[in-house]
Amino acid sequence: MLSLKHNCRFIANKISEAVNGRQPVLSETLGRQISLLNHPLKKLFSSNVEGSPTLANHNNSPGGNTETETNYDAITNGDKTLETKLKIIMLEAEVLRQEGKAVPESSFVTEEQWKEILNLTTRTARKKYFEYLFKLSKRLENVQVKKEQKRLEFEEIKRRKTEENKGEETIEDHALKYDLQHNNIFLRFYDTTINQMYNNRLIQAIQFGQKLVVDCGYDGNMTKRENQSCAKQLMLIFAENRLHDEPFDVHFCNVHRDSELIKQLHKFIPTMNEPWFPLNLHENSYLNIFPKDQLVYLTPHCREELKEFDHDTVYIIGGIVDKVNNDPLSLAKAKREGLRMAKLPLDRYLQWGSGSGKSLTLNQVGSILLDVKRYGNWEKALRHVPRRKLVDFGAAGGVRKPWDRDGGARQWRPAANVDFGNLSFNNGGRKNDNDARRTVNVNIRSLYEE
Amino acid sequence: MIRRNICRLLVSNIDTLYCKRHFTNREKLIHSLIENAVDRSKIINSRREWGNVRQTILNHEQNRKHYTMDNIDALILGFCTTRKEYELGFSYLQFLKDENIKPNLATIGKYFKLLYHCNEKYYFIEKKKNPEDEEYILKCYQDLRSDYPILDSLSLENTILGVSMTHEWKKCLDFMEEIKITTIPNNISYSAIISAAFLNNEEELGWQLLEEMFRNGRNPGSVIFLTYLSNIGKMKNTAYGAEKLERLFTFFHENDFKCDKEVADAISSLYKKLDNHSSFTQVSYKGVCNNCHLKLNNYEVGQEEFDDLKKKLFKNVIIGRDLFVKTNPAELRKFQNFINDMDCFDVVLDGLNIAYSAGTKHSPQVLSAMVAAVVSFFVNQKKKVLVLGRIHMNRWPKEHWGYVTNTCSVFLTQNISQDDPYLLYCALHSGKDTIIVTRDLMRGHKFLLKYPKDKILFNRWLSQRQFQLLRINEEGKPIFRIPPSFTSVSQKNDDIWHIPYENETQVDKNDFHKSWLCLKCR
Repeated sequence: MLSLKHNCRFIANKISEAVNGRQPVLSETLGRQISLLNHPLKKLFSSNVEGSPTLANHNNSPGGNTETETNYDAITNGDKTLETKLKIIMLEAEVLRQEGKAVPESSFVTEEQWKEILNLTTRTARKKYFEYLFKLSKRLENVQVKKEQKRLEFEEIKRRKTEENKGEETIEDHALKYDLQHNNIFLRFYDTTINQMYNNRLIQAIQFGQKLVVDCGYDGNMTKRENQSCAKQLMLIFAENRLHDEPFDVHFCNVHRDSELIKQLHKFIPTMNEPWFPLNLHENSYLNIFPKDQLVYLTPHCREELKEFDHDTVYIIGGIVDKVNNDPLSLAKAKREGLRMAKLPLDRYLQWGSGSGKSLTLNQVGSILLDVKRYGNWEKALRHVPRRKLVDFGAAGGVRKPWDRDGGARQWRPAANVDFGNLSFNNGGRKNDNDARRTVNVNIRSLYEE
Repeated sequence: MIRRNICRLLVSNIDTLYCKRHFTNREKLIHSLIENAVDRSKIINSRREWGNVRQTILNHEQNRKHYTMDNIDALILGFCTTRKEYELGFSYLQFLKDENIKPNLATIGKYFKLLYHCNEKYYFIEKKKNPEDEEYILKCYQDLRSDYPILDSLSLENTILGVSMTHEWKKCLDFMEEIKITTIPNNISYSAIISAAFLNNEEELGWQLLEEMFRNGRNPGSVIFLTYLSNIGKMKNTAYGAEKLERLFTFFHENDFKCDKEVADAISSLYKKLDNHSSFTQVSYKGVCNNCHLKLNNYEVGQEEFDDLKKKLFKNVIIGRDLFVKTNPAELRKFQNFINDMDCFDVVLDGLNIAYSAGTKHSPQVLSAMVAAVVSFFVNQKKKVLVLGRIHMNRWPKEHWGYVTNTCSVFLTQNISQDDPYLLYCALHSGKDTIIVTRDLMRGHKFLLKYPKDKILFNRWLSQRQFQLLRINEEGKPIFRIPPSFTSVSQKNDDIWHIPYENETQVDKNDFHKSWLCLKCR
């Protein structure tokens, strides 16, 4: 294309000008965050490591925004090598952002999240995490925008109403209002009343209802993010169970109180540890609470299908979100403990589309079990499976009849190039030539006899 | 003049052209916008036109804050580099300069990258140096460093690309160390620094880095070998040159590396220059070179390596982190007992893989018949056969399955256990000459071996011993894909080197490797 000479000259001229004319300008182009980074870093590389005086510099640095300043010590516990690494990663995030990758504003990333990022070993993992945070930041941004819009709308309506009401009310209008000075003869239902009704139902379930175990012992196998979404799903299990007509008596077993999972769950349900709260948390294993022969572990990796829902069995759901590690951990656990296993009859009743996989969230599994217990009808219960995962979810609702295992569309196809039409069991009518059948049949047989 | 006008027209029309499409991908908008500007008119030289393009992208209605003043420059430059429109890239830089727009860190990185891609051939292979240009690159680097005493891995990788093309290339080694704090350097920066080492006659360093690169699971770019070869081409002493080539080929051999067509061409022309004989050739299925009619070697895995592989497979693949994930202790004990008084088998079959090789939607009768057909094929050859499968196979109709259980050994795992690891272990345990019949390429199990050397070994063993069932013909005779009796790796046969190279014309990936270079010394 071009000769080296041409290019280099060309560039050379440009760089020379860049170098001579614009040296101080370079640093300004980066965010303030980065220009703040410079001072302590210089020290680190010039063999003279001094922490404290540079920190003082920060506040004096021109344009330094003290709000976005990061507390390195809080993240690294004062570990200098970690601090260097953190700064490099922060700069990496900045460069990624400048390259147009999905990276949130550095002010959005919390100290906890920086700690998490420091633990990630590869750049790809960091990129993915940044992307996740970026999406999160955008979502929150959108929520804010919508809130603001709603507020404006509300004020607009309010303003219009007061304007309309400015005129004196006529005697007719006044008479048409059927109330006693806007009072009502009915008692008002407060949220607490409804809450108490739900809790009452739940306590009845604790006394007489069927048990359901959620095994929370997998927190060590999950990443922080997985733990967080797992905690959310546990919260949803509890909530959906409480709202159901016929709730389960839910037991969370193998709970490690100081695990990330339970801490996060505690954030979602602050009253979780109160003695009156209708949720059973056990640090024990379910093996110590329930008779072993009543337990059935629900794991998608086993081969046994749950054909009939048994109202006397205690079903166990493995409390695990496996986005990263796809090892069949619940299968391994059930095997080790010698428990019976079963999986939901997902393939029997549903026709799955390709792509999104067959994994369900914990609360979806919970809802399916609640409905199958209440209605005894798998078709109805499996409506909790997201429709997007199913083929043709528009027309047939993705539900198919148990006897129609291939969805009716597919024909039986013979093995590639093999004529097994000769075998006695098959009279599917593909070939009516009896003689031909027999000869090939003999051929397969003759192979054994030789 | 007319072209200019059209171009301007087009640039101003971009908006109307692209507003109808919906852009889901972040990159798509910019790509289609620049692509449009680039393809319709090869000249976006004037400041105004670049300004137009830039403004169009920034103000585009589809642009929901994806393209900002912060990232637009790096994105446009990156686009020019990936599209190999280097001149366009430089014209954009010129535009930035004219407009007094300060390049940010990412833009500088992209600039180094552009520079490298544009000049790697001239600098490393044709060895054209220009001290003046080097000075500018270095000055640019020093400037960067004084602004950012600590640099991140992305910028450092790009800086390596720039600095490797100067006389201060050794600085790149320090950059490497800096990168390693947070990540492993990428392919292209490794390639740049190794090429620089070869160019500057620091061969030992180059080889060391190349080894390190393989250990870290990175793939070398062809620029490394092209540099090395052009070095040899410059040499007067041909005997010394031959020695160096020998070293390169031995390296290919040891690391199971196949070079690409470009490198193969360079090797070939170099050989011709050294008055030797070289020709592109094909190798037959039996391993005979069409050119010299020599038979290629079959490199078998040595006994020691073989035992090591077996041990690692047992540890990493069967047991793994949790024994219960793939099997259970009782089963493992049963398996070990089975292994201990197991004879050596000639053939190990993956029962379920064979049964399902025509799809899973067949009746048990068909499935068992397929296994039986394969078993009988080997039994007729008086081979000792072992079939691995799962317990539910016992429910298959006795007609065919009974034949299988009567004529050969069978080891069945629990329905919920994995049978593949056991299959591999049995085949390894049974000896080096055992044939393994499955269509599975065992990539997942190979991954668990971790070390690249082990993976090469595993691959070599599997590619030599694996029969893949293709179909069963009308007479019930199974047709296999049988591995060729030679190894697809650089090798020396009676003073003639045979070098395999990647050729795009080889369409069928499953076929054995056909494109070779046959090199004969005088």
